[in-house]
Amino acid sequence: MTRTWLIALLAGAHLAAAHQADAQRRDREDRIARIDTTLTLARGGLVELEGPDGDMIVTGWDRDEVRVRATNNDGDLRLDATSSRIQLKSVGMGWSDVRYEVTVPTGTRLLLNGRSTEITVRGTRGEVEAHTQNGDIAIEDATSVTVNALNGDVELRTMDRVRVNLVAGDVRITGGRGAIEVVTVSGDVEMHGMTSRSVSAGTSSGEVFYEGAIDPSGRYELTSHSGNVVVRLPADVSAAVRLQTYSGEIESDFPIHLEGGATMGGHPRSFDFRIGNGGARITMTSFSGAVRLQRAGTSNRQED
Amino acid sequence: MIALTCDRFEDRLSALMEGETAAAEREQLEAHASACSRCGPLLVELRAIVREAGDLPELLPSRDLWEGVAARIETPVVQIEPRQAPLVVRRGLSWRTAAAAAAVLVALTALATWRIAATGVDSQGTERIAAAVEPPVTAPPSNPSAGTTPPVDTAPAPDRMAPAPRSLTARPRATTPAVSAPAVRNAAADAATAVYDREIASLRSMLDTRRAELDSATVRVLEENLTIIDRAIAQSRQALAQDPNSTFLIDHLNSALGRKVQLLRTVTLIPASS
Repeated sequence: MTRTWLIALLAGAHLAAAHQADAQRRDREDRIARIDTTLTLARGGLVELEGPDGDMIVTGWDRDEVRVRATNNDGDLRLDATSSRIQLKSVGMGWSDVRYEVTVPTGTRLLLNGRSTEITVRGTRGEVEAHTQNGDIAIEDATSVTVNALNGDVELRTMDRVRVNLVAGDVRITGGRGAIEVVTVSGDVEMHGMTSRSVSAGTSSGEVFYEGAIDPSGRYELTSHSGNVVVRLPADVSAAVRLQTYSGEIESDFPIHLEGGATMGGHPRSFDFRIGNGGARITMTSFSGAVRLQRAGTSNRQED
Repeated sequence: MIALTCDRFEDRLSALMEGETAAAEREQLEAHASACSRCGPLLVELRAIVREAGDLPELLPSRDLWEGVAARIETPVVQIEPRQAPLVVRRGLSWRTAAAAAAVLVALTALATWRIAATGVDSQGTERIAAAVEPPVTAPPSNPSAGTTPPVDTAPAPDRMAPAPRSLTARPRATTPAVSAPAVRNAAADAATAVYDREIASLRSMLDTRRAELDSATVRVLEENLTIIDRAIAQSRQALAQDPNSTFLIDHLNSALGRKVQLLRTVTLIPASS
């Protein structure tokens, strides 16, 4: 008899626990807001995403539709839309965790706002503007990119105009075609396979590296305070070059035929010279880092 | 025609610079300047200063501010049906509102700084020259302090290390000595530095009031990077003290100051952590 009661008691406790766990699960799932829908959007329209924490993944496609799949683990979602603008945002207590997966027509303009947010954009072929406090940003195949971020790395591939204002983090650009303007305080700036006519890149404590074509009418200004500045140029380049450093080294794979003069001893050290016909204007400056001009094919090192 | 004296030329110099003279008077003034060994160089110097003033470091409110404001005042969006997620009314002051308020504050600060720099008029009514110096086409001149040890790893210096900006008047009296190019360059650099310093002090004050609103990780990143920039500023200033005429160092210092202004502007726009 006692044994029967004991079994019944244990079974009751087990059922109660299971019921409570199920209630908690349902409660947790109830709190997860979800959106899975498709909307029409005019070509060249605006998609605006806003979320405090989490991931934003945006991909371009050829349809005039926007596919929105979004979750918010601890808050709500709000989706507003017109024929030319779609806005998705998290609503609720401060630090909810969101995941947005959005597919947009090519040419769509993106405005992305996050706090601790990882942002990935691929193939949208339109303007992208991203603002974050923390988190990495990766954007590929856009016409123009504007990034304002506090902390995180920025990786950009195949785009026309770039404007990056970063505090702590590295910037890597591959295949930049238009005007490039990059500022970071404590990060490196790397540019590979570039065909830009206008490049301005600066960092305080990081290093700057540029590799790519030089337009005969282009202007290239690369600056660091304490890091090295390295430019790797094609052998047949034509450019007027200025190399400057206060206390670092100056190295050049190209012969230096001085024109405007130079200060070689003491500080600062400065060289003005031409390569070829001297069309483009290249200025490389570092206060205490080295300034290195490399010839593509003869030097494979980025930094010594 | 009445012969023009040097005193009369100086009295009308301001009008000449402003383009407020009639054609006949302008010709008369130009003729006097071309013949006078004192007034001619003065006119040349002042015109050079005006050209250099055109290179004043840009302290306009950043485009980002406008974009943020514009995003907030665009056409309101229309709800679509059926709603996929419940609409929740937000409580209290949202971070967007706080960011917009901060944006307005920053814009006002930047605008005030820009107006000071653009008009160049100080409280005494004299015209202040505030310009960055364009690097020369040729290499900088040799440094008299060649061989000295470069200043590295110095401690961060306070923002207000710059000497007080010197004022140049557009109506110099006859006793005013001719202004040499290095003096003009230094005055312009000092004035530009002072403009940066004023904006930095203002923005730094804003940051201090907001510090408690920001999460500790954000504050740590900010302080680390402000330290990096302060070190760059200190090193540039120490080098500049040894070589005050170096356009390289003046440009480098202004670049570091500008970067600090940019960072502080960014900070004031960061939304509160809760």
